[in-house]
Amino acid sequence: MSPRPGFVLNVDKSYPGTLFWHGEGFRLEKLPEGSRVLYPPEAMPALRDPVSAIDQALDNPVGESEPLSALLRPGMKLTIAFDDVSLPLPPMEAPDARSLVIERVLERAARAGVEDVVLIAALALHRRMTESELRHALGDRVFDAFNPRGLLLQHDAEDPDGLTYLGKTAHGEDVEISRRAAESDLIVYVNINLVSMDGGHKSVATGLSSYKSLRHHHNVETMVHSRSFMDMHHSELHSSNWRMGRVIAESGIKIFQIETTLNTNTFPKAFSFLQKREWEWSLKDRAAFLSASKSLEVSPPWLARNIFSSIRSPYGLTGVNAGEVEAVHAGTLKNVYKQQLVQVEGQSDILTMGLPFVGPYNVNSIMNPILVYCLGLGYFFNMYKGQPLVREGGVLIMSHPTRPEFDPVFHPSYIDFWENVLTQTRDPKEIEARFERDFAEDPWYIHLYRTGHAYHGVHPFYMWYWGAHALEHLGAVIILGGDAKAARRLGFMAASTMNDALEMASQYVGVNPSITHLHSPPLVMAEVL
Amino acid sequence: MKALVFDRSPAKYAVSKALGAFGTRYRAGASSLRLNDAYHLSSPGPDYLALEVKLSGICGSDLGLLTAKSSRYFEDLTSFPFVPGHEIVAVTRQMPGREGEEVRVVVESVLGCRARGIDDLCAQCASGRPELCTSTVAGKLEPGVQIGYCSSTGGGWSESLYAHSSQLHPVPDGLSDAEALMAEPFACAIHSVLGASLTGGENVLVLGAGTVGLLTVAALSAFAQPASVTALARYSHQATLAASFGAQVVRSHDEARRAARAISRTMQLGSRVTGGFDIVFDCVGSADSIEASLELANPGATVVLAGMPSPQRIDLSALWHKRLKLAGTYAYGQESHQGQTLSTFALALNTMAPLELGRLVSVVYPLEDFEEAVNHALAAGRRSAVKIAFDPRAKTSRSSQKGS
Repeated sequence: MSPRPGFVLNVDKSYPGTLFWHGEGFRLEKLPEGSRVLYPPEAMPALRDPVSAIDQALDNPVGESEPLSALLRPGMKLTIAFDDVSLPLPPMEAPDARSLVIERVLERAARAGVEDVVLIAALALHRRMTESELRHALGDRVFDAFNPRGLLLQHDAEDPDGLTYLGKTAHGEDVEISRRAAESDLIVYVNINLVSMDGGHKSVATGLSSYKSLRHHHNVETMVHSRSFMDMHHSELHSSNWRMGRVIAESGIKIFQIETTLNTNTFPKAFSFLQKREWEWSLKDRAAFLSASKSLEVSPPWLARNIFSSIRSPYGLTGVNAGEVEAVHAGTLKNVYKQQLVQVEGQSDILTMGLPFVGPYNVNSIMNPILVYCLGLGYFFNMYKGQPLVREGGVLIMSHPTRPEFDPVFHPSYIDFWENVLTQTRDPKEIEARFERDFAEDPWYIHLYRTGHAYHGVHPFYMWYWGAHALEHLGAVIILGGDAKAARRLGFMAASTMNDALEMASQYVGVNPSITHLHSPPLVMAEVL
Repeated sequence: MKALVFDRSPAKYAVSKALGAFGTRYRAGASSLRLNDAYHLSSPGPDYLALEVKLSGICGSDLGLLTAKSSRYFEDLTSFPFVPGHEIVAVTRQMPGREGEEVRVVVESVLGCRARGIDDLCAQCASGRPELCTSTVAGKLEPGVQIGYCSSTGGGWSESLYAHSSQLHPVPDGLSDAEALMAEPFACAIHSVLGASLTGGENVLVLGAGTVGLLTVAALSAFAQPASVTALARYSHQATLAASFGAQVVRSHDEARRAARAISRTMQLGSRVTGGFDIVFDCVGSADSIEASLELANPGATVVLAGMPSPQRIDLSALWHKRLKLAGTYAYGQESHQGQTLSTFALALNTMAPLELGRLVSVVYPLEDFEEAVNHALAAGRRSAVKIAFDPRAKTSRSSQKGS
C-alpha cells in the first residue's frame, strides 16, 4: 500500500487534540476550531536493498560524471568527506547510511589499487565528533581501519597549514577549503539529506571550508535574503554556496557527490505514537503516550535527555544519487520534497509549533535557549516554499521548556553569547557588527574547537543569524511552557498555557486570528500558495 | 542632645560577634550602641564649629563595628565612648566669615593634624595626605582616625557634633541633602580611582555593587579612561545602577570567571582563568571577595582593596603566582587632577551633580529606630536598597521616609 500523502486538517469539535513536542516531553493541545494542522505524508517505503541501490548509483552516476570505478586509479590521492553528527536527527539505527556508502566506495578504491585514502568528517565550524559518534557513523570496521593510522581526520577550519585558498567568486567571496581535499585527485562526498537545505555545493563549500570563507554566506544579509533557506532557488545561502562550488570546480578539484535521502520513519516502537495522526491512535498508543509523557514530566531534565539521546531512528533509505554535484542534488531535492512537502493555501495570523529535544547542534547534549531560538525561528519557521506560513507581523507560538542551561564542553561560546551579547542587544545586524569578530577570533574558543569538542566561537552568532529572517518578519514570539526569564532574554514572551499564549497573541493579531500548526514529528515542509 | 553612643563592652562585643557569626539579626539589646537622650559634648576649642546634623549615613565600616566583624586594629586608635557616623550633612551658624548665617556643609571626617589643632604638621599632613596622619592620637582631640570614632568631636548619628573649620565644605545650592550625603563616600571612591594611577586603556573590574562599588564605577567613568569597566553585582537594582554609572559590562558573581576570560581573551582550565582584568577594585572586603579579586586579575595586575576588610584567612597563592600588587586605599585627601591640586572633597562636590547620587539614599530613619535601620543596612542589597541614613531631626518612631 502506498503511503498516504500529507494534508491540511481543519480542526473541528471531533478533533482529539494536537501533539506538540515540548523539548524532552510532549503536550497535547486543543487548538481553536478552524485552526489548520499540517500533517506530512506518511513515511515513504524504504529501499529493499540499500547496498544494491548504492552500487547502482556509484556505477550509474547522474550528470557529467563517469562511474566511480572509472575515476579511481593506483597512485591517486582520494579523500572521502562525510556529513558530521548534525545529521540525521535523531541518529539512525546502525548501520548508518554513511557507513554503507563508504564501505562500497572503499571496496571500489581497493579494487582499483588506490592506497592514499583519507576520511574527513566535514565539520565546518561544528564540534569534533566523539569516538563513539564516529564509530556509529562509519561502522567499526572503517573506523578501526583508518583511525589508528591517522587516516580518519576531522576538518579543522582553524589549521593554518591545513587550508588552501582557491580564490574569489564573481561576488568577491573568498573560497578556502581543506588542503587535503583540495590536493586530492578526487573528493568523494558522502551526504545524508534530512532537509532540503543540506547537500549540493553546500557539502564541500561549507563543510570543508574556513571562517574566512563561511562568513560570506553565514551572515545576516544572506539569511534575511534566503526565503527560505529550505528552498535553494530562493535562498541567497545556496546561491553563495553554488558560486563557491563553481570556483572549486574551476580550480580543477574533482568531486564525486553521493547523496542519500531518508524517509520519516523516525521513532522506534516505544514511541510509535509519534509517527501516527492523533485520531488514529490505538488504545495502546494512548497508553504509550500517557505513560511516556507522565514519566517524562517527573524525570529530571538530565534523565529525560538521556532517554531521548539513546533513541536510534529506524530511518529507511529512500534514494541514493551519485555523480556530478548539481545533478545529484536535483534528484535528492525531488525525494526530500516528496517525503515532506504539503501544499497549503495562504498564510495565517499565528503559526504554532512544538520544538523537540534535539536539533542539528545539540546531539548528545543540551538544547540551550539559543538553539531553541534557532530551531524555532531558523529551521522550523523556514520549512516553507513560496511564503512563510505566518503572515508578516504575525505571531509564532512555539512550545519548549527553554531552560537557561548550557553544555560548557560543547557550547562554551554560547554561554558568553548569552551573558555578554544578548544582555546588550538582540538586533542581528548590531550583534554581527559589534561582537562577531571578537568571538570568532578568540584564541580560547579556537583552542577548544581544535582540541576539544566545542563548537567554534562564532557558532552562536550563526544561530542568531539563522533566525534573522523570522525576527524581521514576525510581530511577536511566544514560548509556550518556556522559562520566563530565558524567554525575555531572547526577546520573547512566555506563556504557561495555549489559551494564555493566544490571549497574548491577540494584542498583535486580534481576537479571531487564523492559526496554522506545523505538525511535528515527523518533519513536514509547507508549500504556501 | 540626642545621640547614638558606642561604648566599649567586652561582654556585648562577644555577644555581637556570636550573633554575627550565626547571621542573626542585629539586636540593639546585645549591642554596645545605645540611644542617649541627654548626651553632653563640650567644644574641643575655639576653632571647632557646632554642627546640627541633617543626615548621616550608615557605612560598611559602621556595620562591621556594630556586628563585631571589624578588625581590632583600630581599637587603640579610637577613644570611647564615641558617636558613630562619618558621612555627614549638617548646618552651622558659625562658618568663619558667614557667622549667624545657616550654612549647609559636608564634613571631611578624617582627623589629621589640622583637624586636631596641631600647627606643626606631620610629614603626611604636610604633603597633603591627612588620611595617613601619624599624629592621630595627639593634639586637642582624643584618639580617633575620623569623626565617628573620636570621643571629642561626636559623630553624625546625633543631633549635633563639633568639627574643625578646616573639615567643612559648603554644599553647592544645586545639591539636595541626599546628594550631599554621598559626597564623603564619593570622595573615597575618587581617591581610590585616582590613587590607582590608571594610564588609560585598562580593563577594570569592580567587584561588588553596594555603595562603594557603585561609586567606584561612577568615579572611574568620571576620572579615568579605562578600556572597559566590568561590575559584578549580586542584585538586579545594583546591576541597573552600575550600568547607569557607566559600567559597560555588568555580571553576577557566578559569571565573573567567564567575563575575565573573555575580556582578556585568555584561557580557562577548570575553574582557573589564565588571564583577567588589569585592575581590580575589591569593593566588598570579605575573604571571598579578596580571593576572587586575586583570581580575576591579570598577571602583574593591581588589586585595590577599597572595601574595608575584616580579619580574614585568605589564600594568597594567586598573588604570589601572578605577581600581583595588592594596594590599600583609605578615605580621601588631596588630588592632582588636570593640573590642579585640590582636596578630594572639593573634587567630589564639583563633579557629583550630574550623577544624581541622591538616588542611592534609599531610606532615612530617625535615631530611635536604629535597630531597624542597622538591620535594613545589613540587608540592603536583598531589600533593594543601597544607602541607609539617619535624620536625627526626624521624630516619628517606627516609620521611614525617602531622603530629600
